Amino acid sequence: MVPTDADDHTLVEAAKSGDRRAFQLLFERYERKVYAVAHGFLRNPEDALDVVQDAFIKVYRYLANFEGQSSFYTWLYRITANLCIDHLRRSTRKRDVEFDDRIRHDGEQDSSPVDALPSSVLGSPGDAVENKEILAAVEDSLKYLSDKHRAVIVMRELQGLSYAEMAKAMNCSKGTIMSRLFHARRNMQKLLRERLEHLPEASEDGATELQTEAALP
Amino acid sequence: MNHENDIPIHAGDLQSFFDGELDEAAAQRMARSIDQDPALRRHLDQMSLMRDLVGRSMELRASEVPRARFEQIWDEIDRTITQEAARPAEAPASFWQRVSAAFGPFRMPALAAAGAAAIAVVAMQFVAPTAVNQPEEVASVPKPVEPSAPQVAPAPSPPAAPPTVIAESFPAPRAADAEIHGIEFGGSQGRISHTGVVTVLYVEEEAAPQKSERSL
Amino acid sequence: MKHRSPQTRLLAPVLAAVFAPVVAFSAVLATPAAAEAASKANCQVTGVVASKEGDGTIPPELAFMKETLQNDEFAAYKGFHLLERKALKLVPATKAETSFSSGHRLGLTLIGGDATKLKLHAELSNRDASKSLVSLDYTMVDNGLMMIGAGSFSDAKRSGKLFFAIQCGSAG
Repeated sequence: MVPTDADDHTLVEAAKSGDRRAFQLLFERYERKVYAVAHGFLRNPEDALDVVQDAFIKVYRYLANFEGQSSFYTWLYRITANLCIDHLRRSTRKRDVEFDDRIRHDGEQDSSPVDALPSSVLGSPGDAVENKEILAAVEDSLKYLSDKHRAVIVMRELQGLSYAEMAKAMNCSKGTIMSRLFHARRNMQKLLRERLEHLPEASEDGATELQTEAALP
Repeated sequence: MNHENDIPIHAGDLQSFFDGELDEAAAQRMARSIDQDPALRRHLDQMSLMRDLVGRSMELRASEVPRARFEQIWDEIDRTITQEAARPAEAPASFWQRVSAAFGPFRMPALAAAGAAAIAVVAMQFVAPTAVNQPEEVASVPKPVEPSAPQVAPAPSPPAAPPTVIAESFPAPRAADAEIHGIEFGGSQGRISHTGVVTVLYVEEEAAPQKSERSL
Repeated sequence: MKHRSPQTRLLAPVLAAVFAPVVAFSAVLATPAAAEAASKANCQVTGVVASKEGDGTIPPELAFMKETLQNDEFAAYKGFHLLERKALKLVPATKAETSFSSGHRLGLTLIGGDATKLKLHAELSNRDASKSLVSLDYTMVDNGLMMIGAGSFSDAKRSGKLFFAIQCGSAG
C-alpha cells in the first residue's frame, strides 16, 4: 500500500497497476486545486464540481498512456482547462455584462498604464491577500470579465500555463494569447479599482474595520 | 491575424518578463530597464499583487467546499471507473457474422440483399466518428484496469439479536460546535471537523498514538 | 478577564461562523467564575450507521438529529440506520461507561459546567475494548451534539460508517 505522502510519480505508477487507493490519494491531493481552476473559469460551484469529476475520470481513463513528459499536475491542469473551455463553448447561459475583448482593444491605443490600485485601501500586499473584502472584490471583478479574458487570467495566474500551452488550449496563436492577457489584466485592474474605491481605507497597522470588530471577545 | 501589434511594445515585453516568457538575454535587458524606471517597477508590482489576489481569492473559494462534497465526487468517480473496468471490450463482429445474424435461414434467397447490405456497411466504416476532445499526449483507447481490492475489512458480526435500548427522550440537539481542550487519538489517524452545527471526530483503528494538545 | 458585552453577544452568532476558533477560545476565557456548577447530567449516546446506499430519508428513530445528519458533513451518505441508543447519568468526577454491540466502549465523565454548558471528558475504546481510540476534554452547550466517527461497520442488515452521537443535558 502506497504511503499517503508518496510523490505524484509513485502514486501514478501505483494507480496504473490498479491501486485504486493510490488514485484516490491523487484525487484528494488535487481536488481543491482543480476545483479552484474550474470555478475560476465557470463561476458556478456545481458546474465546477462536475468538471472536477469529469477531469479525474478522464485522467483515469488515459492514465496508462501518461508517460510523464510533463508533471502529473500540469497534465491534470491541461485536461481541466480543456474541459472548462468546452463547457463554456457549449453553455448557452447569458451573463449580465459581456465584454467583447475586440471592442475593448479599439479604444485603447495609448500606452499609459492603468491607474494603480489604491494602496490606501489595500495596505501592504501581505495584508491585502488576507482581507476578505478585498478578496470578495477580486472575485466580483473576475465575474465581470469576458469568458476569454477570465480564461487567460485563470490559466496564467492560477495554473501557471505558458503562452504556448494557453494558445493550444484556446486554439489560437501565441500573439492572440499575449494580447488577450494584456487586455484581461488591464480590465481586471480597472474593475478591481472601481470596487476598491468603495472600501474603507486600511488603518496604519493594516487592519480594516471588519477585522478589528471580529477581534473583540 | 497578428494581434501582437495590439499591445504597446514595452508593456508587452514587461508582461512577457513577468510571465517568464523572455529568453535569458531579453530578460536581463528588461531587468535593467526595470531597475532604472520606477514606473516600470510599479507596473510590475501591480501585476504581482494582482496575481497574488487572484490566486488567493480562488483558493479561498475552494477551501469553502465541504470535504463531504468531494467525498461524494470521489464516490461517483469510483463507481464510474469500476463500471468501465468491468465492461468487457466488445470485438466488432465480422462482416460474415453480421450477414449471418441478419439473414439466418434465409441466406440463399437473400444473397442480393446481403450484397447491398455489405456495400452499405463498408461505406459506413469510412464515416464512423473519431473520438473528440482527446487529452494531449494520449492515445484514444485506454487499457482496462482491474479494480483494486477493498481496503477496509468489515467489523466482526454482532450477536444475532442486537439489543436496542431506547433511552428517555431527549430534545432535538442544539446546533453548535464543541470546544475541545485536549485530545489524544489512539489510532493511526485522527481528524476534527467543526461544521457550525456539530463537531465530528474521525478516528481510525490502527497503530501509534498521536497527541494533539489544545490546552489553554 | 473580560466579560462579553450585550452588543458582542449579538454579533457572536455572525462572527462565530467565520472566526469560530477565536470565539471558542474567548468564550472559554470569558466563562464567569461565579456561575452555578452543573451537578448532574443526562446523556444519550446514539450509534448510527451511515451508508452509501439508500434514498436519503432519515428513519423516525433518528428524526431527533435530522438537522445534524442533513449537514453537508454527511452529504456522502444516502442512508442512516440506528444501531442502538444508550443512556448515561453523570455525576461530577465519576466515569460512566457503556458498551455497544459493535464492541466499542464509551466512557463519559462530567468535569464541570453550568446551566448553559457542560464540560465533559469522553473516551472511546476500540472494538475489543483493548485500547483507547480517542480521549478528549471538551465543552459543549447544553444538549449540544458531538459525534465520533469510528470507522467502517457491517452486520447482517447494513454496512457503512459507524458514528457515535453524544448528547448531554444538564439535570440540575
